[in-house]
Amino acid sequence: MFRSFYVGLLQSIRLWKMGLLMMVVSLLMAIPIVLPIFWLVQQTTRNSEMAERMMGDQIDLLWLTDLINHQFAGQTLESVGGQVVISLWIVGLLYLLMHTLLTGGVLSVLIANDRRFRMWDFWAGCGLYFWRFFRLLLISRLVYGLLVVAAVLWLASLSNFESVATAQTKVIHRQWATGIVLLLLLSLVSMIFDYARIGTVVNNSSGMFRQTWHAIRFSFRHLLSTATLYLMVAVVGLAGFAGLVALRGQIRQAGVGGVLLAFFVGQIAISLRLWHRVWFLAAEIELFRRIGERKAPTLELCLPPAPEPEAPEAGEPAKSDFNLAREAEADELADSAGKDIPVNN
Amino acid sequence: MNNRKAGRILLMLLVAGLAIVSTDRTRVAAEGNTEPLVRYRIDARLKLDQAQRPVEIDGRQQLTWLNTSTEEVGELQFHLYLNAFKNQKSSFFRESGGQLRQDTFSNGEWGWIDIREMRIVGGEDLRPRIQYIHPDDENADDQTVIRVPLTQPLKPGEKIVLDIAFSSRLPRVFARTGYWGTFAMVGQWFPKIGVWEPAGKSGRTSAGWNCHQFHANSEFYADFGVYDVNLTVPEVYRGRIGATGQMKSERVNTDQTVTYNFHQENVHDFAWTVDTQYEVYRRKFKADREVTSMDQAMVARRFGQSLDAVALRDVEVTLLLQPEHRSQVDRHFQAAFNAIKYFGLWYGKYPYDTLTIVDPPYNASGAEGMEYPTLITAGTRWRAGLDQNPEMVIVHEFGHQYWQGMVASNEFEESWLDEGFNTWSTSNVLQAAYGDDRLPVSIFGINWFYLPLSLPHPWENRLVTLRGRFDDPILTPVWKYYDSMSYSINSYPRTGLVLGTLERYLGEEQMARIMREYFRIWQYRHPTSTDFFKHVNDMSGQDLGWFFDQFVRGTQTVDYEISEAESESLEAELGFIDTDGGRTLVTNPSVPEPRWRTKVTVRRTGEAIFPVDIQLTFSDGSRIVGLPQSLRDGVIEYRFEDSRDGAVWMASWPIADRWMRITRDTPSMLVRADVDPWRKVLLDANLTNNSRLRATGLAPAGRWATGALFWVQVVMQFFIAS
Repeated sequence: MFRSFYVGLLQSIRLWKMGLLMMVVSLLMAIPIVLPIFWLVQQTTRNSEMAERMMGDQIDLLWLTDLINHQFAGQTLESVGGQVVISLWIVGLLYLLMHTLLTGGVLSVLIANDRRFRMWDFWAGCGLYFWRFFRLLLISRLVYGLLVVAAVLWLASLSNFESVATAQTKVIHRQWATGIVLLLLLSLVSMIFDYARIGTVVNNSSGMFRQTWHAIRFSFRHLLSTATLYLMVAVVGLAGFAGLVALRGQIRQAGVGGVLLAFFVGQIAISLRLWHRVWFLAAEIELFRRIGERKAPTLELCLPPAPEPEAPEAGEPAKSDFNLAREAEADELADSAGKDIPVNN
Repeated sequence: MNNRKAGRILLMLLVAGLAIVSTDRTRVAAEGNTEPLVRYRIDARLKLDQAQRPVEIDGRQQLTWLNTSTEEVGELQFHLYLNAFKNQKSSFFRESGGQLRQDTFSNGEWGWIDIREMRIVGGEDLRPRIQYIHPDDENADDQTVIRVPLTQPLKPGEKIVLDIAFSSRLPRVFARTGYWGTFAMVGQWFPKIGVWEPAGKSGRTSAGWNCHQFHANSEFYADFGVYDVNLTVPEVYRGRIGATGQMKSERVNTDQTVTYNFHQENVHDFAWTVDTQYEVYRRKFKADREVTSMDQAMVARRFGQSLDAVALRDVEVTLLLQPEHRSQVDRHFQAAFNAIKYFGLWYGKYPYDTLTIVDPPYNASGAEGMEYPTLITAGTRWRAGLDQNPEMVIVHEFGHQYWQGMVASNEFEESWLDEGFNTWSTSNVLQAAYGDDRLPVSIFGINWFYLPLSLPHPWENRLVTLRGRFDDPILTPVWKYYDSMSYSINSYPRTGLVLGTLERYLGEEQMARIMREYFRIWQYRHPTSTDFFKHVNDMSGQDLGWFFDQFVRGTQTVDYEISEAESESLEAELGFIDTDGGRTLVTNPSVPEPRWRTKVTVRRTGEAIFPVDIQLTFSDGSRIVGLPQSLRDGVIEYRFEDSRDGAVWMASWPIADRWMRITRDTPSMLVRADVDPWRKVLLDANLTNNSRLRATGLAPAGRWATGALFWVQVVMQFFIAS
């Protein structure tokens, strides 16, 4: 797993353009929700002393109070907060769909023999796997939902304990323990569905329940390796992200220069986070392959026969390395149809 | 003048004289020179139930009450406030709906108080005469006030001594009082006599008792007196007890109980607490260490008093803390010390020898944030962060030692005089001692981060106050507010803003003198709003009726805006210009000064009138400042002064007019116009329209939009964590 960690890191560094592309997508998706904020601040501070006060390091409380009292007549801090949360949920869900689309492209590039980022191949992979990954997304949400329900039920049972407690410390400790266990379980689920996506691409499978089941078996059979790799990448990547966020917070934005610097540092942090996702997948693919090579006889990743390659029609673009690799894989699969095969391609 | 008329005048003078004597009697008593108006000697025994919970109190009290009035008193009235928790029929319950201060009543955990005996010492048994009354509402089921008719009316100057036996059952901690686990906060627990008020007091037409029912949002109005209380508690509470006043003795009994004696003079209530979990810390507020000589000299100079006159006293501070809050010992003490220091320096020294701070256990939040004489309850959480918690609650509750504890206004009828005054004072102390507050985001008991939002005191009071309309005037009896929110807004932050505005209008120095003198005059007495209004008018030398009518007795909102601010160029028109029979060709557009015609319009968009300051700033740095000089006969007189040439002129703004336009030819261009530039009017509902600047650019919007952009992107990442 250390090798996977390292190899995944190198591969993802080589594919930095993908992180950049994903950052641009996140930027484009966030801008529509931010434009009204820009307009609101501009409209309510333009030609007013508030504009000067808003250039400080903190939101001006006076502006915020009067904004809510007068621009959103009848609203309260709580109700405005509620609307913001709903908006964020909507954008978040749309972004999740977009990310599901992009993951197909990322995995296509990572699975390709030369692992080079080409825009055409990337988007082809996005389209090829979107509906499969969308089905996986629905399955994963179901599992997440069950986990959250279990956590809520557990917390509800804790509330009985909480209601009779005379010291908060015990309550907090239980909440923490619950939170940590929930976080680990959520990470486990996240990891399993990473492997389900990898399996889907590697095996060119369209049976998402089957890929989920295989991913569960794979993850649990090699729990030490898979979980350790996941946690190592997660900790290192999130630490870097948190560091950049903290750095951004230290930038004094009292002038245009400070504002621009904070913006760029913020976007670097977002890029890092998205590149981190690529690293995750690259490292997991590497581990998936290595374990597959080592334990091929016992690995039950049964793939359907690949479709016969069709002759290119006139005007069709030349096949990329990825397509050629896929075809080679399909040939190999055709030869060994009905047998357990190693996942190494 | 005939004899009859002279006799009537003599009689009136005599009555007036007696009334003055009566009013001052409490004060004199407070100084310890004469017999106190009321004296309680109480023996109480705390009993545990089978689950070892401290739920029952057996008490016997000897109450001495002196009739200091000029009238005969034919009956006595008492508070029996624990009966508010007896059932859902009490007025308290009907008003609160069983929910108060983020706490919910646990059904079945009722509380009550029964009077077992009440007799005049050496005289008749009064118990059969007891009647429940409900002076505030039509709720005949409310049992929180009783009247006890006397066979023989009590003559002026006479005193009555009653022997009362009572049993109290504490509710599960809900609204301020009760038990939880091994903890008990024992407040409003004994029969407390009401206040006999003379005619004229609080608009009374005749003398009588002021003894209100227990309401959801108020609990105090009583006379000052002496409390001598023996508390017998199970031995498990040995050393883990706190109470109003000074602990005089501890006696271990043979029946596994301990008896403590607490004594305090010049207080109007007595509360106490026990918990086997308490960790007890004691530190002394040493005035010469906590108050620098510079602080003292500054205050002496401000008030024109000697250093000795403004010197503070040492105070023994006891902290009864939950073990899990051990790391916050210093913060609790420091907050208390800051409060003792600033309240003492600003209003007058804290006169008592002790202060006890109580930290209720988890799940007893109903007992948090309460004030009793020399004993306050705080309230904190598992880990304290960088925000002003627990400091805020400690400073606020200590502040009630002044506004309510010593200046004992009627909380039922005029809650703003204690809660609102204290909100204003608390803001000032917190700002002086700690600066701006911060808003944490707390999850699982830890403040993970703080919102990029600074909370300067007292501006935080605007957050919930200025939502646009007020349902009630500030001056409303607590049980008559439209709802709890209206009570909360008016009694706390709105009053804070009103006093903050008054402070800025009159000036910090004058307001400081007014409040210090107000405290001095009304210490150990019962001032009303009218007394305060008169005091402010007298000390300021102004008739501030317009202010109090609008902002205390009224519901108007203030909002002024700069609706127009521009400088037009006065450049000459080119061409042949006919002048006095001649014709001149003008080819040079430049003209001698002034080159600009400046027009600024100030508009009143709110209903309330306020004499606001006006300031115009020009490109060469010069300023025109307009200051209101007077508000008389419906006109605000302004004095304008131009800093460039020292020119002075006057202008009038009739208050019936919604706007005033200032037009002046100036040598430089207007770059900024401000109404209320020094932010005196905290009550101004909208500060975003108080200024007009020539150009501000896109940077502010860009700054916060890019910030929002980043955080939206961060939130989006959470959605793809899988």
